[in-house]
Amino acid sequence: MYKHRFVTIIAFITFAFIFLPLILIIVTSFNSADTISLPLDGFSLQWFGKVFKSRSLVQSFKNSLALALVASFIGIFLGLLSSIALVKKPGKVSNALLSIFLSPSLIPGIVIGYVLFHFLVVKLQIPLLFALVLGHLLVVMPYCVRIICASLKDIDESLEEAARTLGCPPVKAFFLVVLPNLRPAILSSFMLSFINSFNNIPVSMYLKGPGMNTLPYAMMNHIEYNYDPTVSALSVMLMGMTLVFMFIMEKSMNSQSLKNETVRSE
Amino acid sequence: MSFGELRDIGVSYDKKNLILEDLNLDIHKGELLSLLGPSGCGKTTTLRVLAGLIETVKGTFTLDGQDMTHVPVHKRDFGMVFQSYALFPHLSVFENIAFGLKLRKVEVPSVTKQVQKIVDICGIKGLEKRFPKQLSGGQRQRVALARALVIEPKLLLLDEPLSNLDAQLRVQMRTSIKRIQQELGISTVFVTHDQEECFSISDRVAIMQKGKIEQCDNPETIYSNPACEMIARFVGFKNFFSLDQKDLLGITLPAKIQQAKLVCIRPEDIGFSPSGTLRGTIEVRTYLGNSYQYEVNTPAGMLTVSSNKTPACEVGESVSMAFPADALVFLER
Repeated sequence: MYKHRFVTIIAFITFAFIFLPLILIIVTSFNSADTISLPLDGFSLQWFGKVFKSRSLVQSFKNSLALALVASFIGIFLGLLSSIALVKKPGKVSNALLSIFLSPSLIPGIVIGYVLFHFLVVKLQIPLLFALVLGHLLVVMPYCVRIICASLKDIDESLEEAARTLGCPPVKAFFLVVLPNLRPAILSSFMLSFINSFNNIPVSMYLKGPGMNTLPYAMMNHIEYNYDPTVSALSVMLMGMTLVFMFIMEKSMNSQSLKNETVRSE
Repeated sequence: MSFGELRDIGVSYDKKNLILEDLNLDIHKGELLSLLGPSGCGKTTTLRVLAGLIETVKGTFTLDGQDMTHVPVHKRDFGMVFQSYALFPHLSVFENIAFGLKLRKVEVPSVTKQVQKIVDICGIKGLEKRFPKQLSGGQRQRVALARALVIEPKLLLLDEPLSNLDAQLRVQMRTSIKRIQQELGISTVFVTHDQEECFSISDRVAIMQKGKIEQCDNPETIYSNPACEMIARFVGFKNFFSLDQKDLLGITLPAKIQQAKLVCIRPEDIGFSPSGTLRGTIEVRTYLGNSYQYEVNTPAGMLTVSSNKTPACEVGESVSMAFPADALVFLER
């Protein structure tokens, strides 16, 4: 394989830039000192324990998890329905609708949050929890529509027709033939939706309220008042969670792509 | 009454232009009927009407005395092979073939037996566990055929099934299709734009143009007696004359021909002979291997003549040509 020293150096610097801060966080989270500091004082797991003792962090983690799951599921469901409509009836109206579906990803989150706060919370007096779900739905919808739409367009229309000629009623044909082939698209929409909702600060910032906080915001609050490694420990756990999440996704994607492997015979 | 009948079928996508106009077609029991024509002539549309995938604006479709016009696709019990094969990518070859049987709630042992039988007939034994992506084009074709046949359809519909295969495999596959079709005695409608493919395996051919069937007959009849100029050109007639020129050519109109607009003849049927009725000068000579093809300039226009006469005529040579009466075809349109 051809290797160029310059390319190697650039790659090394890039990886260092990405991973060094993460490694520092991991190292400091095991430190026994009261602040995030180097050199290390001694090994300790106390900060991991502290995370579970902090009621605001635990509660906001549960909130964020539930919010991300609910928003992703609704987003995928609506994304699936709208993709079917957009792909089945192509034309000017569909193109315009697609742009509208994708627009929340172009509008700054801070604007969406602000607008939703005024409209949903101040004007319509909608409960905060519900407003948060709606706000996060706006955040995740573009990913779901974009990914599922693209994948649905790639699926040969005659698959459904073939199923129908073999004796399958139209709706059943969708479930038996189209949906299984959308699985990779649905999985990756879920992954992107979940991560984007879980990470979101700007929209949550406006719509959170007493007793209804999200994890990223709670973490920001925490480090504002305490400079201890609790948040480092929490970050390490989140990284671990992400790794497990990605591993599961990768596994289920692989079992799909195995079928797509081309074997030459004859 | 025929086994299958399309009567006065009209199809329109935009409610203004008719894709099919008053189309009539008979399908005989157990035959292989081909729909042949240039792209955009409505042959695939006709097939989709048969399958029930397109709504008609008028007309009826009956099969075996049963009105099928408004029967939904999934209740028709027809097998269809799509141009893209449309194999289900997430199912194995076995599951693909068993798909229709499972929907019919056939018992598992019986499914296995029926799939096994059709797999043998279609020559895809040993591939049952593979997925469609792991098959070659010809194998996919056979799986698609097996999947359509296993439900024992009343009618088999093939939409350009050979167009995605390479030339050699195409010849091999069309013979297989014909063999399987005869073996099972299944009435089949085959859509194609390839004239050779169509004539070689069909019992009857319906030639379509602009949403209408121009001629529907057995291949031999179409070959020797084309119904119109388009079909005549399609099957190899190259020399066309209007009837005003008949004295110039030295031919007479047979008594049984009532009215005709054109007369035509194949290049190989025109003979060079000293007693010929039309004289002309050879302008171009091309070599075809077993014969020469000449472009001859005559008072009746430019003629294409092929002849294996030796020694070959030279460019610039003056020749006289004869038109055998039995090789002339008179056309009404």
